[in-house]
Amino acid sequence: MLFSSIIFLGYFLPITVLVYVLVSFSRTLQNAWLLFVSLVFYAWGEPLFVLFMILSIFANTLFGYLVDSRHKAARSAKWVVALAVIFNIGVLFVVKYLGFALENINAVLGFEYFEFEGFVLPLGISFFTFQALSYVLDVYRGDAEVEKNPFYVGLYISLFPQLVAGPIVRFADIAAQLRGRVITWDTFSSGCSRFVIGLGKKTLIANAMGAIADRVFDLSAAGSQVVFVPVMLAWVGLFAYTMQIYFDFSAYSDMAIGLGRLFGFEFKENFNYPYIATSVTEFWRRWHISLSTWFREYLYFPLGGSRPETVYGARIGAGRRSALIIRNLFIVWLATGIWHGADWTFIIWGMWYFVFILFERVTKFTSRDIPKVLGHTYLLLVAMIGWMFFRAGNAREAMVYLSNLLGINDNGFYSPLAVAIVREYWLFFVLTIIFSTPFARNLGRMLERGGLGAWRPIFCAVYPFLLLFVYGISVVYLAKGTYAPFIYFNF
Amino acid sequence: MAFRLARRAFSLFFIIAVFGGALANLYIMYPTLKRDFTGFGFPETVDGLYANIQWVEEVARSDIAGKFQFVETYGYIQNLMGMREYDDFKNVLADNGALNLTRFYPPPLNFLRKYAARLNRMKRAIQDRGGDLLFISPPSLVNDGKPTYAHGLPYADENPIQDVFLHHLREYGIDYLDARSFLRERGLPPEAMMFRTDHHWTNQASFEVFKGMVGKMESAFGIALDPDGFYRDSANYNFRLYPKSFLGFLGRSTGAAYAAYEDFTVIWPKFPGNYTSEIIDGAGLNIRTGPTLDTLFNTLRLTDRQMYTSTMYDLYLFGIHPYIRVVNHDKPDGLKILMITDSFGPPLGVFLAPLVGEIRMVWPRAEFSKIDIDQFFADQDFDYVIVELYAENISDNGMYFFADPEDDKAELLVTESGIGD
Repeated sequence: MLFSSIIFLGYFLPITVLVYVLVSFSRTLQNAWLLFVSLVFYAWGEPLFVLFMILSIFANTLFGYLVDSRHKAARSAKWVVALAVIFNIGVLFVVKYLGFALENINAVLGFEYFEFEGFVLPLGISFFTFQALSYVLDVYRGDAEVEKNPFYVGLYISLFPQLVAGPIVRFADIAAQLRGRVITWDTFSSGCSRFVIGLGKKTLIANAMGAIADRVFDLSAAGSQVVFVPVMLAWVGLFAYTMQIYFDFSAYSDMAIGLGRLFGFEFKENFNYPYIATSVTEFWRRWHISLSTWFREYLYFPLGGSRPETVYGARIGAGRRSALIIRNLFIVWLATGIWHGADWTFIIWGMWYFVFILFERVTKFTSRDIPKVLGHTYLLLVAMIGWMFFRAGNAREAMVYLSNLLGINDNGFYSPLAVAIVREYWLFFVLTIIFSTPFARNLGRMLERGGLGAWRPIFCAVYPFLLLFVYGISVVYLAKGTYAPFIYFNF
Repeated sequence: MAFRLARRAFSLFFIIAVFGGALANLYIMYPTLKRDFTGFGFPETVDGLYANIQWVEEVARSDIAGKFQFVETYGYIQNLMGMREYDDFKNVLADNGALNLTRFYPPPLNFLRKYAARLNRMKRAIQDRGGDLLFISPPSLVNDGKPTYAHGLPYADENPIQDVFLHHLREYGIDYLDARSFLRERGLPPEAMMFRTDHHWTNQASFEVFKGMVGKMESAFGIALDPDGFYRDSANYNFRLYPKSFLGFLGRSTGAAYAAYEDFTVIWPKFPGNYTSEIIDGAGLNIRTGPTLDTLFNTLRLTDRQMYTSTMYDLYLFGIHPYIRVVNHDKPDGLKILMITDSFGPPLGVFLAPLVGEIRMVWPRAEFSKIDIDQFFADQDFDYVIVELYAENISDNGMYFFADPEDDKAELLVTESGIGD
C-alpha cells in the first residue's frame, strides 16, 4: 500500500486516525491498534511475508532478552549478537542477494551450476531488517533498555509510517515514545502539514520527473541500433532522475514523519537538502541520514572508524592506521551499495562514492577554500553520474548511458525531444530547483518565529488554503491515475 | 501564534477533506463491494488472498467519487499550463487541438513483408474458389503532414508503416485501396479524415471510402456491385450533425477540458433495408431482425450521452466485436463477403450491407470468443474477402491468419527513403 494511493488516503488513513482517537483514553489500546493496522498495512502488499515479519519480531525480542540477561549475569553476549546478525542479515541475504550471488558464481564457473529463480523481493525488507537489528545492537551497547514485551518490539519494527521506506529509526531514539509520547494539537497539525507537503512533492514533482527519467532511460536501454539518445536528451533524463529520486524519497520521509506526528511519534529528519552540498562528504551528511547514521554507528565505528587506535589490543602506527581507515571506508561504501540492490550497478555506485569520499579525505577537500559554485558543480556532477549507475538496469546499460552523456555513442548532440520535454515541463523543473533548496523550510521557520513583518498575516492566512490546494491537486493527479510507484519501495 | 493557528486550521480542513472523501468513496464503492464481495469465500491460498486484495484495491481505484471531475480537472490544469502532452507523454496535442498517440521508437518496418505474404496466401486461397481479396488501408492521425505539432513532440506517424506495407502488397499483386490518397483525391481535407479526439476516421471519411471500395471491387474484380451507383449516391442517405457531442477514445482519457467535444455526423440510408444481424459481444450472441436502424445501428448512443463510459463511434454495428454476421434479406442470392477488420470496419460493413447478401465480420484483435480465421475461412464458402487493418494492427496480433513458420525468415530491410528499391 502506498501513501500516495486512493486506498490509503481514502480508507486506511481515516479509519486508522478515527479509531486511534476513539481509543485515546488508553495508550495501550492505541498502541495495539497501531500494531494491528501496521501489520494490515504490510500484509496488504505482502500477505505471506507478513508472517516472517511476525517471526522476526519474536526472534529479535528473544535476542534482546538474551543479550540483556547475559549482561545482567556479567557474561559476554557477543554470540547472541552474532546470532541476531546472522538471522537478520541471513534472511535478507537469502531473499534479496542469493540469486545475484549464485548468478555470479555461475558466471565465474562458466556454466549454470546453480539453478535458482530467486524470490520476489518483499517490500521494505532492507528497512525493517536494519531496524530490527538496531534494536538488538542498541540493547547490547546499552543505548536502550531491553523491551521484554514483543508487542512493543513489534510496534517499533512494524510501525507503518516508516515500515517500507524509512526513515530507519533506531530503537534508542524511539523507545521512550512507545509508551510516553505526547500528542498535542500542534504536533497533530504539524503532522498533517508535513504529510501533505510530502504528498505534493511525490505526486506533483517526483512523478513528473519519474515519467521523464523512465522514458529516457528506456530509450537508452533499447540501444543505439534501435533509437539514438542524443547528449541533450541524456542529460535531461539524468537531471530528471536526479530530481525524481530526491523528491520521491524525501517526500516519502516527509509523509512518514508527518504520519508519525499524527500518532505522537517524532522521527528524525532523513534529508537536509543534499543538493546544496559543496562536497560529497557534506552530501552524505544530508542524504538518507538515517541509513548513513546506521552504517556509521553499527559498522564504521565498530570497525574503528576514522580513528583506529588498536588492532586486537595492539597500538598501530600512522601508516597502518591510514590503511585501516581506507579499509573501513571501503567496507561501509560496499555495504551501502549492496544494501540498495542486488546488482553490480549498485556496487559500482557504492564504490563511486568510496572513491570520492577517499579523495576528499586525502586532499582535505572540505577544509579548502573552494568557491561554492565550483563545489556545487562538482557535487552535482558526481551525484548525477552516481545516479546514472544507480538507475541503469545493469552495468551494460550504465555504460551505454554514460556514452550517450558524453556523446561518444554516435548519438549527436541536439534532441528535439529534449527541447519538447523542457518546454512542456519547465515549471516542474523550476519547482525542483527551488524546492531542492531550503527556501520553503526557511520560510516556514520565519513564520514560526514571528518573522516576515507585514507579510506575516498574509502568509498565515494563505497557508492553510495553499496546503489544501496542494492536497486537492495531489488527489486530482492520483485519481487521474498517473505514474505513482515509489523508487525505494523495493529495497 | 498566527502560524500555529494557520497550521491548526489546515489540519481541520485536512481531516474534513480526508473523512469527507472517505465517506463519499465508500458510498460509491459500497454497491460494488456488496454485489461482488459476497461471492468471495475465505481464501484458501495465499494467491487467493492476494487476488482478493488486488480486487478490493482495483474497486477502490475505479470507484472514486467524482472520478470524471478529477479527470476534467487534470485536463484543465494541463490546459492552464499550456502543456501539449498529456498523461506523461501518452498523448500529445496538435496545433489544431487534435489528439494523437505518441511514438518514441522508429516504426517496425523490417517485418511487414511477412504480413503481405500472409495476405497473399489468403488471396490465392480465395482465388482458387473464384473470388478475390481487397485490402483497405485507412488513414492515420497524420495525413499529408497535417496536423502539425510543436517542435519535438513525439507524435505517432503511422504513414511509413502503411507506405512500406502497401509497397509489399504491390509486389505481391494484391489489390488495395489507400484511403489516404483516395480521400485526398475526393477533396476531403486531412483534418476532416479523422476525429480530433479519437483514433478513428470520421463517418464522412468512412462513407467516402465505402464508395471507393465498391468502385475498386468493381474495377479490380469485374463485378457489378452497384451498377447504377444508387448506393454510392449521397442523395440516398441522411446526414445529421450532432454538434459538440462526441468525445473519442483519446478525449475520454484527457477530458473535455483538455480536448473539447467535437461534432459527430451520422450517415444512414434513406432506404429501409431488411436484415438480420448476429453479434457476439461480452454478453453472448445478440440477434436482431428488421430494418436498418433496428439491426445495424445502436441508436441508444445518440441519446445516452455517457461521455466517459460509452462512445458514439459504437453507433455502427454496435461497435467492433469478435464476430458479426449481417444477412440482407433483400438479396438472398447476393455475394457472401468475409470482412477481417479492426474498429475502423463497422461503418464500412453497414454501408456495404445493402449491396451484398451476407457479411461475416471477424475482429482478429478480439480478446474473447476469438475466431480461428483459417478454419473459419475453410469452413465457409465466401465469394470475396475484404481485409481492413490500420497500421498498428499490421502485426502478429492483427494478422495471425494464414501464417507460415517460414514467414519470420522473409525479412526485408527497407529504409524509409528506399521504398520500392
